[in-house]
Amino acid sequence: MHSFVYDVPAARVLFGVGASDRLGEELRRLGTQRPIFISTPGRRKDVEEASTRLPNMTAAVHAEAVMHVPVETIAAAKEEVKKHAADCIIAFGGSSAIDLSKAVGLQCGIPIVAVPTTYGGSEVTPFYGYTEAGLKKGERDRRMLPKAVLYDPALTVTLPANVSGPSGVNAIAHCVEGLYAKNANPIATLFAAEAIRALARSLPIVVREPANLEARSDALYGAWLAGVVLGTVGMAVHHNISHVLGGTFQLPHANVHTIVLPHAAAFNREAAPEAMRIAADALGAEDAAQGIYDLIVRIGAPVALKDIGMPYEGLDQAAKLVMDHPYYNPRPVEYSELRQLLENAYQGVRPA
Amino acid sequence: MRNFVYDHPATRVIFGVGALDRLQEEVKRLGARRAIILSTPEQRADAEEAMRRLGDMAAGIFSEAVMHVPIETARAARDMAKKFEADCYVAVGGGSTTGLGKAIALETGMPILAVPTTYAGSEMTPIYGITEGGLKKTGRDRRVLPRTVLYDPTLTVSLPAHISGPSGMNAIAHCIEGLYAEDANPIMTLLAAEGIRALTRSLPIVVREPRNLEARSDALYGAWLAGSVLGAVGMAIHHKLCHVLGGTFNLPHADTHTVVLPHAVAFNREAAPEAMRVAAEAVGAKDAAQGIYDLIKRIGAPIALKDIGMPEDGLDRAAKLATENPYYNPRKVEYAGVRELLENAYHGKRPA
Repeated sequence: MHSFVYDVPAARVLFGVGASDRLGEELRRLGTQRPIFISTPGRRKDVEEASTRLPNMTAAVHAEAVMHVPVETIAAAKEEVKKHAADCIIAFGGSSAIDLSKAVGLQCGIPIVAVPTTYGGSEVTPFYGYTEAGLKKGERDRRMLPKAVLYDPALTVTLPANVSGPSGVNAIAHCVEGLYAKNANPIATLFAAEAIRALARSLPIVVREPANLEARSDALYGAWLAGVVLGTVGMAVHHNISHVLGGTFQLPHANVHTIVLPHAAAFNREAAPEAMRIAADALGAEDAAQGIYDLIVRIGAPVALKDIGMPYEGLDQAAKLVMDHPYYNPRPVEYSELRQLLENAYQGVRPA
Repeated sequence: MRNFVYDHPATRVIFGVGALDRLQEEVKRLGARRAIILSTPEQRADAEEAMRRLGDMAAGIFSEAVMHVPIETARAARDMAKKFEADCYVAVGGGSTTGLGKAIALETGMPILAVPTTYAGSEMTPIYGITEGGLKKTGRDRRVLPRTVLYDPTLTVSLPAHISGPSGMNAIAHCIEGLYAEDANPIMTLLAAEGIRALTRSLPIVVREPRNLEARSDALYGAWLAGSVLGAVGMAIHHKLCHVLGGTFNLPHADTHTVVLPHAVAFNREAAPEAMRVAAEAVGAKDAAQGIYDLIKRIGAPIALKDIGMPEDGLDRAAKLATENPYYNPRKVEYAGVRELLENAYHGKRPA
């Protein structure tokens, strides 16, 4: 057994259908009196409704979270926190709401209770991204982690199939890269394998029957563990490529992850045989890269960059940008192989 | 998926051969400057090893830890810390030493760093015990948890085979009962299965080649996970029986756990089929109870209560004591069934 460091923050998770009904109880546990809900405008009705169900508390609603967390929205949310004299944030929704909440919670020094409604996993990672003057930036600090996370699969049934699928594969991507991370540890490996199993068995059902609560539970469970893996160990070439494609070519985040993943796995196949064995096992496939590709096809998610708006002439530039930001990767990344990887992802060919 | 609560304290573990070399760095990381090293008189040599690693950060060695943590011992260690202006403790040893560290942490709030040298797992549980005026008071409090745990398999090679085997089986017992705990959760199930796997594959080697560092690593890894499970979820009939047998008949702790386990598992076989499936898979057997029994024989550990000092005429009384107060167990606990279990354990029969 290799030497390793395992260092995780305290975590409190309430999981299951109806878990969000325990919000009041969790807030009381924190001794909070004046919580503020943070959500996107699309969730305003949900959080307003939830705010009326908190007995003996004065709750406010700030439903102004948007994608990429512009720094101005952090300032605006902090104003609301001050105005309301809020002593706790309820982060309700996906990564946009949760990242904004983490920024505000950290800067104002107040605790967060998260009620995630997607497979983003941001509620269990100690970092958030924001944009300032058009530039993506990030902050990492354990103090931003929610004191409690309420995972209620019933809140995820409205997530459409075409969002659920890629979002679930994005979670699988955290797990696959977690398996061959530079600072991998056996516990993160257990979590990653469990999450891949849960997502691989549930996503095909989720996209066919979005209201199937058993499958939604499995998928949300997998997403949670994938978030834990992302928050604990480092990522590699897959995440590097996905960031470049998402950032420079404005491609949709989860779709990019979905398309790139089988090719990144194929790229690292020989360099990380143990990780690949575990991933393949968890997917119930002979080969991890092919198993992921087949899963994507099965859930009807995109398999080719050309289908989601990537310009062919951008592939060279993308490969160069990835080379400019060297990340750890189990296999050294060279321009020509990387360019081939992107070519394969562009065309959407099944990994050989 | 069943609803569950996962509530875990912050954990920092440094694992691997040579982990002890990081002692000074880890003490600094806690913001401490001078450490008192705790040990039993027998393990003073290990304490001295730790002292060498600490260099000028060592305030001294307190090598008077004994079983059951008498309050006088805890006070003496505290006085020593005051006298030498120490601001942290390093507990090097097994349950007695870790227990002393926990008692001090509870009273003083001073940080404890644990360097376990056995498979007891106490360093991962919030359970403490202090003996005052002949009475042992036990409780649960997260403040007693060591801030950092250094697992260095090198320190375990001197643990004799006849102690390593039963101590490892005791750890397996925590995992098994964690699988069917009332408050079981899927994460603890993952860790429990991994703990059983690691111990099952390593214990036969450990007892044959006590200096095999690879096997010692696996065993210590399994013991760590078993301690985490014991600290996180409730136990059932097996632990109740061992408590009665140990307390009333003064039987040796780990041997008692070893002898009783296969029979407790057989007792719960039909009532907890999923836990049994996971356990059987982890021990690599068709049936969990038989697999555990066979493992015990393989490592040459005791299989019969009659061989470890249990009087035959005590079985009735033990069965009565174990059934007079209700507690959770997957199968209903009644006198006749428990008496039969004890009979089988007394004679050391292989579970049918």
